[in-house]
Amino acid sequence: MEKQNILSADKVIHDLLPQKFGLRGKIWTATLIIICLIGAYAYFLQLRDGLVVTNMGDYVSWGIYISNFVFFVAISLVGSLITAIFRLTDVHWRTPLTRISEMIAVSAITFASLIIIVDMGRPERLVNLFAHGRLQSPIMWDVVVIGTYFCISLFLLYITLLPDIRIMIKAKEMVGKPFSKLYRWLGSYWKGTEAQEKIRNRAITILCIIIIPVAFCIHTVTSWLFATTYRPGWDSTNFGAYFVSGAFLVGAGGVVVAMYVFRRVYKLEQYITERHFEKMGRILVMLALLYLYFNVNEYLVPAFKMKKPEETHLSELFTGEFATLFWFAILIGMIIPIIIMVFKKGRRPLPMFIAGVMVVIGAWFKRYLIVTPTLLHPFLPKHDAPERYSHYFPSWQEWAIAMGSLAGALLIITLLARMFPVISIYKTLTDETPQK
Amino acid sequence: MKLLKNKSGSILFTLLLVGTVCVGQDSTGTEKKALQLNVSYYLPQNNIPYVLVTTKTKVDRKFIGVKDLKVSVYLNDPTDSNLIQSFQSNATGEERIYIPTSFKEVWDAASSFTFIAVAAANKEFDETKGEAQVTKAKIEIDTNRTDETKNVIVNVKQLQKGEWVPAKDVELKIAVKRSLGNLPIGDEETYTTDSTGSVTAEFKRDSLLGDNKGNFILVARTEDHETLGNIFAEKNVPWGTAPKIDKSFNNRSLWATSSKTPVWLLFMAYSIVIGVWGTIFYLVSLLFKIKKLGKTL
Amino acid sequence: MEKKDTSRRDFLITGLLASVAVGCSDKNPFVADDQQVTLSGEKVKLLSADGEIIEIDKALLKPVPDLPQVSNSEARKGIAGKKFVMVIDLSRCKNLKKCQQACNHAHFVEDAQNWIKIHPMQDAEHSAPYWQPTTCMHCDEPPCVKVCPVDATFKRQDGIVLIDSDRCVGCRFCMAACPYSTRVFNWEKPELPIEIEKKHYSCETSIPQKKGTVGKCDFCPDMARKGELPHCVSACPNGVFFFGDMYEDSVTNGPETFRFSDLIRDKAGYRLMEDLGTKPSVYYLPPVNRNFKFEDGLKIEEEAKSKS
Repeated sequence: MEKQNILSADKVIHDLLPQKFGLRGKIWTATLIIICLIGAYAYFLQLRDGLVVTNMGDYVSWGIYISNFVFFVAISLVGSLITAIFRLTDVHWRTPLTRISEMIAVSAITFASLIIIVDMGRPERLVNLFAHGRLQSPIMWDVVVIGTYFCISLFLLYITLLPDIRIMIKAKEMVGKPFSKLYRWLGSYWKGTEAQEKIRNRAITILCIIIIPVAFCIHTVTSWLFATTYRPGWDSTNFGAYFVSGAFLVGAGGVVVAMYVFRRVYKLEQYITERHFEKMGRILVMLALLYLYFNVNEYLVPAFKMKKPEETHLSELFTGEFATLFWFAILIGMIIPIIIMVFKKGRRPLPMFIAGVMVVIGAWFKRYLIVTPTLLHPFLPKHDAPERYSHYFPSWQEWAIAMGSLAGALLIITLLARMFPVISIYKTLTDETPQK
Repeated sequence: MKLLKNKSGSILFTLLLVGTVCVGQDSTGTEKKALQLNVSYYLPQNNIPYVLVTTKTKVDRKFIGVKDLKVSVYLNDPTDSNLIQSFQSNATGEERIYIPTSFKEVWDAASSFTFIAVAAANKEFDETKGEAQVTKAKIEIDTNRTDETKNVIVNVKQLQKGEWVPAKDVELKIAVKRSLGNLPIGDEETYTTDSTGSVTAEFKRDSLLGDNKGNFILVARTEDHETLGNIFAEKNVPWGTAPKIDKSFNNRSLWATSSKTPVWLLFMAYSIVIGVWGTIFYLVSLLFKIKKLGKTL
Repeated sequence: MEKKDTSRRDFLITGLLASVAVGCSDKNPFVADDQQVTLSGEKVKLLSADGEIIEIDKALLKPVPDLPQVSNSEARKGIAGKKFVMVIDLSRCKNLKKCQQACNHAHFVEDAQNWIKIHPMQDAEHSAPYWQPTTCMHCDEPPCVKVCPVDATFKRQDGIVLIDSDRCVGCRFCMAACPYSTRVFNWEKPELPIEIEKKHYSCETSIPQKKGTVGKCDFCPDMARKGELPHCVSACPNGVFFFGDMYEDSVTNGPETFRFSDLIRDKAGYRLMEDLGTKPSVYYLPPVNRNFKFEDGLKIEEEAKSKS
């Protein structure tokens, strides 16, 4: 076991307060903004000319916008995993990870909602969802649960921030001017009295309880957008659990990546310790095995039967057009990370970071493989339609928008980290140092 | 060859059905545009006759209506005094011409007529003529019903030298009137009148669906008969059964409109939403409590 | 003084003048009660076959009276007392694509977007190939309608599934849900003649198609209201398509009319993908005793390809 440093309160506050961007931070932020702007320009082109700027067609009518959407919804589940489940199960070492995961959740769910609007042929008619909403449609369910999850995530991030805001208001000189007004607006009423603390704790506990079913809902309902159709590859009763397990995996992977980066950039080695990586590594292995288990269910069972419509689909995935990508996603998204992290040496920060990146990249392509190949394998022949509809590779506009949205999500995380402590100062101070 | 053509030619070439024109695939395909000007005589229910004039030409192996043609329709002779009506053809290429009352004397005086249509020449087409020869006729439809069979009896008479005589060897179609096409009452495609101008046809469509009282309309008609044209008579008979209208459309279902959402779904959705959002509102109220506590300090 | 009358077409006149004698129905099955021909009040004198002078309202003389434009709410309700059905006789199809051309022409749909697709089908390795035209199946339990979030696509009481392009948000869930891949999307602004583009959109004519919305075969309810057949049915020279009303138990391709129940019984009609439970309104007659060889259709396909 690693030695726990005993730190003075002043040092903790000094270490954990948000810091101004250094040169690296500025370059990073500028790069993200540029990518976002390119994405915004591509979206402008799409608004002007229609979805024709994409390479989607009447068969592949959902492309990387939708797979990107599923990816965002998946990664946003991490907020509920780290904060809620760890809190309810009383996992002590969670403290340095909760804020990061909540920030990831808020930014991911924000971009999930935005990217789904990008996919709409008529975004200006969004209001129809409220004027003519139809409760029978899984899309309506998705709108409701994603809206709810967004509110809950934001609420959770905010209410856990309150004590830190008080600390930041107090430490005005160290934080600097730009956000002091914002802090006062957000939390000047928080005095940290016992009565306030009691109510806040109660609120957090309730939040942690309801966020879990809502988080399960967002991803289950998202999986139902596919599973409620007849198409081979989507027509599965396994889909909800398959998606939720995959979401926990990619979320945890995302947290590991963020842990590593923040640790390096903000020099938080004393707060996010090797022990945290070790623990997260074990969890990640478990989640990867769980996801692998659902993958085996998802592919082996239909492959055993090889019903006619499934046959084309599965053979294209296993040995055909999508085989490279499919096995890449399986290997990089599950198998290799498991192999890395199953060893103690693999659970050190750097290998963990690499495994986390693999998990996230694998997960992104996995979502693409869930959405697109199915659409290329309809029940009736692809006939009397243009040849270009029989293939799909995203256009530069689609890539730009997808990458822009990913950059946008990272930008939100970056800005949140610039404004608020990435590790709860208050919790770090009040947590009794875990004794071995 | 462009001058197309004569009465029998045009009559044989086209098969006119209740306003729809179905024309065979192959036809004279010259480079220059050929106009088809068809004239057919219609007499519904022994009542007000009319002449249907159609202007068609072939474009891409398909007949389409020719618009903006100046067409004049004459009775018997293409002279000004015999002009029934002139018209500018519309996009469908079909025009109905009724006989004005000014022709009463001519109409009463004879039993046979020729309707002549003349399309004036324009940039695309030469002058084209079409005619139809018509003998005044009457068609009557009657039914008799025994325990086992239901029969339809149709009588056709035509005017010859001022006298009504039976029209024999007239081909008739006898059918049940349906909204989009008429359903033959038996297996035979057509029936032919005997020397008394009469034909008896057995109705073989047991328990056919009728209106909500089980009635339907029988129709007997000639189709582009050389001298009688298109005459038809109708009769309402109570020989059918009333359809059982499936009202399940009005039920609440997953494929119904938002106003017909299934109750179980509404119940589930609203209870979840109310439960979760109730909690969220409670949490917000807690936040306000915290705020209030902070302000009073 | 405006009077209303519900009768139309040929039986307009008979309805008015001979209804007593003939007992002809004075109600047109296609015209709902709230949708009647308005008499102009202007009379014309005409000559009857017997040489009598008869006075009649001018509005009744039009072959197809001007029906008032169907409102959106009426177009959503559909025609009362009707249940439209189509029968496609596979033994007569040789992939001539006349149906497709007529449909595209009538709806101003581009070639890439065919609402009617003619698929070369071969059910098993050693079974015989055949041509299968597919329209929208107008399912009685339509999966596409189930998933629409805004009631933009809907099922009507007459069995027709339509799209309201003025409401569609373009989410394309219906396209994913349709197992028959019948739906197409307007990826870009459709190229339309200016007078069509300016037209007010009607769910019944599906004209004009709009950018960013879904389109599909609509069973031509505008034609049915006029008592005419869908464009594909009248365009097919081989009489492949039959269209009709379940509650009249008859289907017609124009020249031929059959009793629907007899036809389905005698020729063993079936529906596509019955196991999915979508309950289509389109029935197929199996490709037995064919009029054409499958290869004839292939030739047509190749000719079309070499032309373009």
